[in-house]
Amino acid sequence: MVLSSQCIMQPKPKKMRIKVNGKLGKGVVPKDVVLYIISRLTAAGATGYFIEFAGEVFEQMSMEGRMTVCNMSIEMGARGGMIAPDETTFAYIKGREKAPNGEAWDKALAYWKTLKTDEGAAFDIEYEYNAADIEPMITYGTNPGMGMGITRHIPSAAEAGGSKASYEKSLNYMGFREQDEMLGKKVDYVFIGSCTNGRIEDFRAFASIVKGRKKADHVTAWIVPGSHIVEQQIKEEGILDILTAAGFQLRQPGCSACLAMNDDKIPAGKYAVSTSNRNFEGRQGPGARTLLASPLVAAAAAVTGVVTDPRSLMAE
Amino acid sequence: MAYDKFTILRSTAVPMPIENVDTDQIIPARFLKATERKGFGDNLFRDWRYEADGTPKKDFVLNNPIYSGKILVGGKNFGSGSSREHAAWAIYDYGFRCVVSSFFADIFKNNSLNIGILPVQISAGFLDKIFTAIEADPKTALEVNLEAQRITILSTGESESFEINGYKKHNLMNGYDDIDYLQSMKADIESFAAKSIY
Repeated sequence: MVLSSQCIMQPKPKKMRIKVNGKLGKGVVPKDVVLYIISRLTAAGATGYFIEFAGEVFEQMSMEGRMTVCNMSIEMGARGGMIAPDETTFAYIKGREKAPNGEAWDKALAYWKTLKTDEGAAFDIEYEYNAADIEPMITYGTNPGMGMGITRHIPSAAEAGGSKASYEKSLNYMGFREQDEMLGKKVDYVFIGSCTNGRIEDFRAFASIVKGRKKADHVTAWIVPGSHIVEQQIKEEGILDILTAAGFQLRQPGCSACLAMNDDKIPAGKYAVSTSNRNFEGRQGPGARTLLASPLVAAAAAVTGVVTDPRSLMAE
Repeated sequence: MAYDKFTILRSTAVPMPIENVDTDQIIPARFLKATERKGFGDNLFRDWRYEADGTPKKDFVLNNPIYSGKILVGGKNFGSGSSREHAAWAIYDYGFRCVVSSFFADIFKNNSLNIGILPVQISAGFLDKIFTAIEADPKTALEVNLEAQRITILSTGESESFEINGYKKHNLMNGYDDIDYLQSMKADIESFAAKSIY
């Protein structure tokens, strides 16, 4: 469609605003914010909508963090996720290779400043959450909405809602039971990468946890930069040295284990803590068991070999 | 004409009372490297359908000869997850022309419409009725009437209406797709593109 017409046909979507107030706690990062939101809305909760993410948490978030959040809008069914442009946005764009310059920049900037939502604009539906309620997240099931705070227990079918048979099928596939704790569960693979968390800030976060520690012996770790540019930055910033000292190696930039189209497949029955965006049955390989999480949770699992709260490995 | 016109379909139906059927199940990623649409039906629900060594899984509905037909009936949020258009291709290539559910994921719904599969969205109650009817009699026949926007359980006459976007309905009834429509608007598209802001 795009190649033949330069267009995407899109009927006007319904409008959803999701506001998250307050400041994120230690060890809580944008990936946790979006996993939290999806756990509240479910995998179908935003179907037919475009979402505007608003509130202090997003105003304070870096561009890469905003990209992580918007990337997973589809996982709650929304075709689009947006965050209003602000000084953070403009600073990110200025000076980049294809950014407008000189007079064109001034024109563009003036236009971009008009793009935020008007005061009092009406949305078809709005949700509001507090940063204080968000802890490091992890998924336990077979869709991105089946996630919870890492210190919690897997809900019962009744608590989860929806079809009991489908819920049981999901837990059965994962080899988990209702009320199980996630903390302490053995991890076989760790994957950091994907379009969701394959940017330089994600690798900085990963390195901050593994620095001075060693990869757990039984864990296979795939460290996959999102692009050659990120790979280059990882080297320039000394992150590669930190990773190497801890027993990690970089792999070729690409989608890798997110969807197992190449050889980076998780074997059947094995558990992978993954910074990607989808944990469907067989997503990372037939029989693979995916636990979606942030780069901090992935790093913590990589060095301890079990599902671990990253805050327990961070300085006060 | 991009695909066969859809007017009235009378057929038995294959029941899949599973919620949140995602497109990774419908067509796993490792099959997305093919460059032709033909043959995708062989890999429809591949990992639910076959063991790793290719043996059919006895318990899976597509391997059970008592169920057949051009209609697939799925639990709510059918087609969720990845946008892969190949999911709709696999369903069409296998032989289905209609998917019935109480809720469809948005992108899958559009991909289906574009290829000539009619997604029929009905109430949770009527979906239950259909599953119950098929469970009692695997040869339960359904009639899907696009013009009247009505789906009927033929043995009992119970029916329900369904919604469909007028433009999509017109396309489906005539075998057109979005590209035909967009091509007809070329001049408008070009004049809009010429009005760049910066």
